[in-house]
Amino acid sequence: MTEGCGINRSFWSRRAVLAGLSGVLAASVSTASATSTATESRPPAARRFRIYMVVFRGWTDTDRGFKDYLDANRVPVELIVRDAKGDKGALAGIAAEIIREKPDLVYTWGTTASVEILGPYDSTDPKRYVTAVPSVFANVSNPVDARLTPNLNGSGRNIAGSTYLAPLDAQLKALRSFRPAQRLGVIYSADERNSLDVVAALRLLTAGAGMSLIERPIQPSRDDAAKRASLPRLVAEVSGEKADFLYIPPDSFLSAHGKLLTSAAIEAKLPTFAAAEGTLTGSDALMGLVSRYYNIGKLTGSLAERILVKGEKPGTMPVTSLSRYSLILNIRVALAIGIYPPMRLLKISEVIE
Amino acid sequence: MKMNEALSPARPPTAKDNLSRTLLVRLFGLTLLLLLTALGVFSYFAINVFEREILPEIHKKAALVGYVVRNDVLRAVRFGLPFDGLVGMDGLLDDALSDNHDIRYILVTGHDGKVLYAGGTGGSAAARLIGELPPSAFHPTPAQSGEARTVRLSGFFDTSVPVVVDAVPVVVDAVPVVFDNAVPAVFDNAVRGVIHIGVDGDFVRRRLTAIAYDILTVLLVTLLVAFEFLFNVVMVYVAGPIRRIEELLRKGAAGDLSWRTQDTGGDEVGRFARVFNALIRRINEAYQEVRQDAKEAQAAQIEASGVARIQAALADLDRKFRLGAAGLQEMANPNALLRIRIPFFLFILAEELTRPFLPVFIRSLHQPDLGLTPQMTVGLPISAFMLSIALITPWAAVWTERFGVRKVFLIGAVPSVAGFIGSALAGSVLDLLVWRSLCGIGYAIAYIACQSYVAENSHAKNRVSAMAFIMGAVFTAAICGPAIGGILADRVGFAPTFAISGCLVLLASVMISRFLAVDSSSTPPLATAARPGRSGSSVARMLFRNPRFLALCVLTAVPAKIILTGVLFYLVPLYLTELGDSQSSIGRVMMVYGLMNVTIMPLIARVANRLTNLPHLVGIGAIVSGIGAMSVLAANNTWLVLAAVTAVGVGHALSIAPQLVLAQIVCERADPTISRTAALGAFRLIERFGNIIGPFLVAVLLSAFGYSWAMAFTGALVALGGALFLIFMALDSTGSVKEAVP
Repeated sequence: MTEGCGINRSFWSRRAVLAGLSGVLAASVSTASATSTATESRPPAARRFRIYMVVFRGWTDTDRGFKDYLDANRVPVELIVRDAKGDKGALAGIAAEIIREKPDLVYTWGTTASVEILGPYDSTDPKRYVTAVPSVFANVSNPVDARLTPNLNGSGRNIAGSTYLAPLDAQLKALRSFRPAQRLGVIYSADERNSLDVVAALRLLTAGAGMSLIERPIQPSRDDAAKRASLPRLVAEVSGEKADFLYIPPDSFLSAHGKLLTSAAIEAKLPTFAAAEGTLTGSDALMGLVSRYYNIGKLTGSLAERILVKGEKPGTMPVTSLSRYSLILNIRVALAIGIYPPMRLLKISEVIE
Repeated sequence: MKMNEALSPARPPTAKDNLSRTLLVRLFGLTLLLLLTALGVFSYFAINVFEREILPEIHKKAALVGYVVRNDVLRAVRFGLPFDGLVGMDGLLDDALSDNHDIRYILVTGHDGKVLYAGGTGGSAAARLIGELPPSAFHPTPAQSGEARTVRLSGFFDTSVPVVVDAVPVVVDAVPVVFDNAVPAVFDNAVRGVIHIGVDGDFVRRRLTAIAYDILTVLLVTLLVAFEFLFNVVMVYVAGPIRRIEELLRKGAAGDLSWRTQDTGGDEVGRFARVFNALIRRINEAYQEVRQDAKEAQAAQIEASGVARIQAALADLDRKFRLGAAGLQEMANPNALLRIRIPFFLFILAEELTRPFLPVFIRSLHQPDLGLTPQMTVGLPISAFMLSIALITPWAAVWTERFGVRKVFLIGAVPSVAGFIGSALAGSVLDLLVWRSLCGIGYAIAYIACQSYVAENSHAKNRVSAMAFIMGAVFTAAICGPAIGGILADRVGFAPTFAISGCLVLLASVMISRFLAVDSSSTPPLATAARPGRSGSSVARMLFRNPRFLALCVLTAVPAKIILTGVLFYLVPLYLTELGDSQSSIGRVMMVYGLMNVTIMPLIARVANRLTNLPHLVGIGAIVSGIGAMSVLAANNTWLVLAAVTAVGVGHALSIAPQLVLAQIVCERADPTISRTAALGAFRLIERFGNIIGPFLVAVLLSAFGYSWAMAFTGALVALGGALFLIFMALDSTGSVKEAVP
């Protein structure tokens, strides 16, 4: 419907006289339909939409943005929050509860929680995963690789959602606007699919830009302490290879232990670029190009509204992302490593002091 | 293209005496004086206002730029970055400079007055002078930082420059070269440095000059338009009627008292005409009475000698005077041509308005999805316009014969108005192709209708001068149109200018429908001389059986049209835009083409009327225009483009009219059965081919070689054609054309 409208508009815009007219028409039609559906399908005051919010590491900015959007748009909801507290094992129980309770909508935060609650698209077991309830996911860096949806144009199943990563080439461009890096280092978990995918894409991009990529995978191990201990060594290796920059992919392990990684980098006077906002705010990375989690939450809230209020089918809704990203710069890190940002970059950055 | 049979200077068709001229000259002189005075006073105030109001605005803007730079720098300092160790200041200053063309340099000095960062040009000279001053000159104590201070620097660009603290400029010299506006950067109660913004004094002067040019253009165009209208009003309402009565009085003096004049209108002239008619009527009535009396006296007469005497007296009266026994005849209105001149002027003006910006406008609509280069895309609508003229012209003549001038002119206005309004709203080049073709259809119809009207309202004897009289309107429009169009495009934008063109056509059709109501619909259309619609094969036969005609067409006529549509209509506006000229100045440059035509063509007409040197004029004209176009190779600047346009104008003024005459002569010589008009029709058809291919040829050259070379190649082509034509005519039994001339 919106799609059709768009085509109509661009068609008419060729005839400017009519464009204004059709714009008015389109606007009035869409407002009319919005209000009518809102009044018709809005439940009586007593009836509220029940939404199960499954979060993985406590209440975050994303969740706040989701709630704020629904409140601001007067969608009557009852939120039931379930926090896995970082425990993947707890998620099966939460899924079972949701299947039993049959709420109006499910919201899942992060790749792990989303996959454990909603299941991969090619092996959905209605007894194990939530399939009958419409769902939205947020903070999933790559929903296709996570097998939540076969492609980004629509899941074809009962779920919709949003992604939050800035396009990799835009990230690389931002990175090189800080300093014209020729040698890029990357440290990542060798057992995390997300990271492997990003590194593979990074290989292509750096090769295309005539840069060299210095890869240092963290060897998989059941022993987290050993993995943690390897971080300063890996940073030293990257630095020893004369890298201009260290790239930190959206990696769960590194998100949890970013501080360790970034303080080693600061010691080596190595600038760091983080893909995820969590790494930027939770550690001492120098910079990143990210979607603000709060805005991602609001975007996901709008998906929930379209499903609940306007009755759209989640399976036909494309996976959305924000069109504008924030360049975040940690000025303390810049001062600590003694490499100052160029004025142009500083001018457009959100600075963490 | 529109330089038709303009072989004699533009004169009113029946200007036998000086009455209207002296009246017109006086009126024109008076109007000129009034307009000049008004415009002079207006311009004086305008420029004063500009200096008083705009200059401080420019300084305010410079100060604003200074504040932005200062805030960026201080933000970095607040984050803990060192004032003298900022990274990438070049980029920051470049950004500020690229957005503000009136700023010559930006300097950032430290607290000791040393320059830390510099952007733009001329900063080093400024830095030296600033360095000679104590830093305190630029930044008083922080508490005083809002206070204006003027420091006089001498020797700065050989002039003294006011230096203003905290961006409150005070003009010390009348015309300084650079104004230095200084903004102190205060942080933590200490002056860390000063941002100097150097405003280009030349920029200010250039702005003033541009405005002065605009005012002058408006002045010139106002004069031309005022004259155009004045001329018509005087001719239609004053000089014409009086001249008619004068003619009747002469007839009366010779004894012919059988004519009355039109006595419509309540003004003095109308009253005068009525009195004259009353007088004539009285005389005729008196004559009738005398005749009646005589008849009665004759009947009462018995004596034969008495009868004979009365008859002799009456016969004598009839010999000496011609009186309207069968009622009075009305003097025909010889001012028919005047009725169409202003509407036709407006019609042409509407099209000419678009000249300076059309290619730029088309380029702005270019979308790569058409699979054409931008250069080709720009050529398309221009060619489409020319193509529809070529296709419609033969039909327009047929329609005019069938429906009459007035109706056809009004029909032609429909596609024209639609075309202009559509162009104003066009969203893509494809749309525009349609709209421009409609404009072309309307243009062709109006042109042919006007030509037929002239043919209807003139005799074979004065047709050439009648045509020249109408062409005067075309020339005036060719001067006013680009100049006004450029200014309009600058001030109100492209789309509104198209809309204005549409309104002009509407106005023209209203005038046509009112002025031509009686004349045209009541007069059965005469078989006009201009009967086109020649079959392609007969044109081809003319071309290939007649090497002289072929040479004339291929070596001079087609190249002349290529340089007109390719260089003047397509390349010049784009090239000048590339050189940074405003639409107004593009319009002024293009106006020179029309100006050259108007000033030189009458001179040439005098020479060409002797018809001894036509081939030379044609060849030399082509060479002048071609070599002129090549002059842009010397350097990339507006003056050389102006020189090129001037040369093309001179070249065409020299050659176009002689081309037409020559075409008729060489055809007649080769085959006396071919009428002059047929020859002319064939020649026109071939010419229009040049109009159509001009933009394409230039587009190809432009994509391959860039502006100046594309222009030079086209020029070289034209000059070469001219030279070859001269050689051909020299080899081809010298003087054959001379002999041909009666």
